Amino acid sequence: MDMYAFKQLKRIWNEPVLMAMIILVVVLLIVFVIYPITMVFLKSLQPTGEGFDLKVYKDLFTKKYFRVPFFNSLKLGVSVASVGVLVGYIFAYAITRVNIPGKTFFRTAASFPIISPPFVIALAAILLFGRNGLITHRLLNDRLRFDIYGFWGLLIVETLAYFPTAFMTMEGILQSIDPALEEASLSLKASKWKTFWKVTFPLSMPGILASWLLVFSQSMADFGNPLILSGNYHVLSVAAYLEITGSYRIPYGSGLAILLLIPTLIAFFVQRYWLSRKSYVTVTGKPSAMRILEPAKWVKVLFTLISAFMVGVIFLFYGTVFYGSFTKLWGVNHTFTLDNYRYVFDIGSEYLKDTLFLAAIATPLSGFLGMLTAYLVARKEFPGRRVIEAMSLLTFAVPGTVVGIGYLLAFNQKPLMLTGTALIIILVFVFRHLPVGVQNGVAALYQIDPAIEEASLDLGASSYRTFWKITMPLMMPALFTALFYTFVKSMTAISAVIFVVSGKWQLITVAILGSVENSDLAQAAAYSYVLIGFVVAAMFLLRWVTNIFSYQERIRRARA
Amino acid sequence: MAYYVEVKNLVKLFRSHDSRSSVVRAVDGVSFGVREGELVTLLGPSGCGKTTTLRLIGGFEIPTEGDILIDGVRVNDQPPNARPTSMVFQSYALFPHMTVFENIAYGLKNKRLPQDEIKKKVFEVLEMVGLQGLERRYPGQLSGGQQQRVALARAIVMEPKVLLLDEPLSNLDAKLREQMRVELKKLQTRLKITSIYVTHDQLEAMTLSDRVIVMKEGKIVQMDSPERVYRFPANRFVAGFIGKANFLNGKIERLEESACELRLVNGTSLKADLPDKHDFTTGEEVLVVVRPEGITFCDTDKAHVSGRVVSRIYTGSAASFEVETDQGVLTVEISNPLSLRLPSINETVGLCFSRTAVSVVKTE
Ligand SMILES: Nc1ncnc2c1ncn2[C@@H]1O[C@H](COP(=O)(O)OP(=O)(O)OP(=O)(O)O)[C@@H](O)[C@H]1O
Ligand SMILES: [Mg+2]
Repeated sequence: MDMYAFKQLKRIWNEPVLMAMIILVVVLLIVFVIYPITMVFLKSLQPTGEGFDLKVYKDLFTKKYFRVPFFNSLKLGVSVASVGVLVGYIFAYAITRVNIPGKTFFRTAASFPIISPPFVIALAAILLFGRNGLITHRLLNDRLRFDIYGFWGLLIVETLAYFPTAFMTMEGILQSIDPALEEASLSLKASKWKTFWKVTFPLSMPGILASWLLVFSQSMADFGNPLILSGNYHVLSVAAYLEITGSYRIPYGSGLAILLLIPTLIAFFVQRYWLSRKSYVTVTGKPSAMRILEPAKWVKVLFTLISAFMVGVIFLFYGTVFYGSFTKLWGVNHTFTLDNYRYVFDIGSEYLKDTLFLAAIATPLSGFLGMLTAYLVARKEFPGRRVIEAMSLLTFAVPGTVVGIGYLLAFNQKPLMLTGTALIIILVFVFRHLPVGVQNGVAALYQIDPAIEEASLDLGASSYRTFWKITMPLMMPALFTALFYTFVKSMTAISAVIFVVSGKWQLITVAILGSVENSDLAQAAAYSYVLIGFVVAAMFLLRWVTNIFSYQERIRRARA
Repeated sequence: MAYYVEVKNLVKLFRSHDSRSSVVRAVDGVSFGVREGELVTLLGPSGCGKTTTLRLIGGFEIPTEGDILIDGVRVNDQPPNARPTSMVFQSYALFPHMTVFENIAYGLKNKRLPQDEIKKKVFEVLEMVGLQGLERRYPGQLSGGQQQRVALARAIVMEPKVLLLDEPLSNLDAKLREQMRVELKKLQTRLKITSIYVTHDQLEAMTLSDRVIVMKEGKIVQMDSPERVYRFPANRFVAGFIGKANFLNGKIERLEESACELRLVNGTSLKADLPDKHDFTTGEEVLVVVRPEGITFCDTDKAHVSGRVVSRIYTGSAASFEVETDQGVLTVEISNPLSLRLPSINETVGLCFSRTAVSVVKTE
């Protein structure tokens, strides 16, 4: 260890609270992030439970039964990423550069799939195109031989679910490209078409690659949609799940999980550590005052139509599920009824209560741990700071399935025997969504002049007090975003928690899957809308709380 | 007299941002002392390590080498909140989510003073800096000058043993800066706070400080009272950095105790004072520093050098001339120009140097 690191350590040693916090975060990350993933890996090397060998991986690559899901997942991931990024780019371009009417509306509509339960779209696809589908069965009388279960169904559903991610990333990128560059190109006598291909497009290339990798990872990691929609098209996440919960071949399930992990990890690190450095533009989050070069009329009409089509599809899907939640038996008897909701609030109320309870506990824990980690990483100097950051962001890259299997394996034995408890579910929620808090927190901190915190230290406050009195209030907006995200994702997630739910603690998402498996689609639809109701309520709560607690609001009121 | 603040052989290395292996020697073996109640400025060009030195004293950076003593106590390992220092930041660093009152009271609360005492002290200091009535505003609702005062009030209300100021006036416009400079000086004289003041503005340094420490590339080049720094610059850099200077080549003809006789290249000789301690030797080639305001026009036969006027700038309270001589172009500044007949362009003039405007530095 060099002298400098030693001096840093010595300084931290003099601040016991800070020291304790660093140790706390490190221990938590090691136990609840690194250890479970390591367990998955170790298990995959222990086919018989004793000794280590590579038999599992040999089988995974030689037996067709195992090989197929791997290539299926890759194919699906590549397809969804490509289509999703194309659609997302068109959407982002339409909103930032073409000045289509109703931008706010389009933007809001595109955010539905991000905050709604992930498999609502799959459910909608079945309602519309399934065996009793509104379109395939009712409208077309089964004349169209189209099977929604399989590759094409998944492609449509995942594209709809994940293009908004690409859209938001690229909206940021496009907004940060100074329109003056395009104006300069035009003034140098390039046509608009040429300006796009020679200036705008190359400048947005890093963003395009980044969103491609992001969507690719999301598709690879997706569990909810393939579980109910993949039919005979086996993908890794579901295969790993079935291997473990169906066949009890834990080493093979773990091996599949590792195969799933590798591409997503690569995508993550390429995106984060290589692409981010290639970027020409720094996304400040503060879009420059937007001047828009008014495009030709036909361009505007074209982009409006494309955007309207995408949003139309989103509305069709969500509308269908809404409609479905009020029917007696989908595809057979569409009489209006409230029975499904009655059922959800009666029989399903246990699920609702449990889910709310667990999410309500996990949310603040995750939010505060995220802010604390962000603070240590962005503001304190100590050896291993970067490693902590990487660890805390790791779960971004790790598919839920891998996390779920990891928790199942890691906390099934002493000294941390957690299987079947509420705690293990809470822990999954907390650490799965920690990266959002960390990332938002770090971003917020980079915008706060470090001298403000130095001033607090200088005025005699300890690091600890400075954190609570100065940093935390200034990070409130980031905290609220993290809280909101954690709550929503905890309510709606399935891929990781499905491995750790027990008879005692049940979740709505699991109930929805149950209903789908029982072909009770109307009931699943009602569950979904109750869940959406909670998400919307949380959104309003977030806005309200932000209004009360954020200092910007307080100052605004003081001015008025 | 013992120093109140003592900095011994301070070194601070930063890892360079551009290449991994190299390091920046931001502060490179700095030693100095500050007496109780004294105001010392660290003066130097951008990047010379002033801020870093100040931050080391405040405890915001860990020294690579060296010691910092305040009131006889080694504070190297104390975090900022344990040090008896208060800092006024260049960016003010006011807490945006707290009112003026809360900002100023913040440090007192950290000291766990009783409520009514906090209140009393805050209002006292508000009055001292002339901010009565603004205590319920947020920093975002104040002008730059007002924010500056809050930053100052917040630091002095702590009654620190040492007040650290990092270019506190640099964000203000010229008028306001001048006004604040005067106020700051008054306040400091009244409160007698031991202060270390960082600036790259030599005027600020000259007017405010009891002593000036001139830095260059992480090292101290001179440490003296403002008058002496100006009168006897330690080297060419200081002479040029503080005030304006003309440089002429010359040679020491004869050395007295604290004066000497110089011969310029053109053969004229003149007398110059030297600092008490110096290491000049007879016959040494030196640079002769002549301050522009110490030059007057005179008859060419009595002049130290003569030349031709090449430019003439009139600024109201002063006029400045450039005169081309066989020693290069010299700058001449005449204050109170209306009382004299001024030479015109291309006129041949003689230049006489007053003895107090002449000093000597090494050629290096
Ligand atoms: N955190 C840091 N990391 C790396 N280099 C640094 C850091 N802080 C300062 N430096 C470098 O150390 C040197 C001295 O910086 P410092 O801020 O002390 O200068 P300064 O005299 O205050 O200049 P200015 O008048 O511009 O404020 C500079 O070369 C600077 O680039
Ligand atoms: Mg500085």
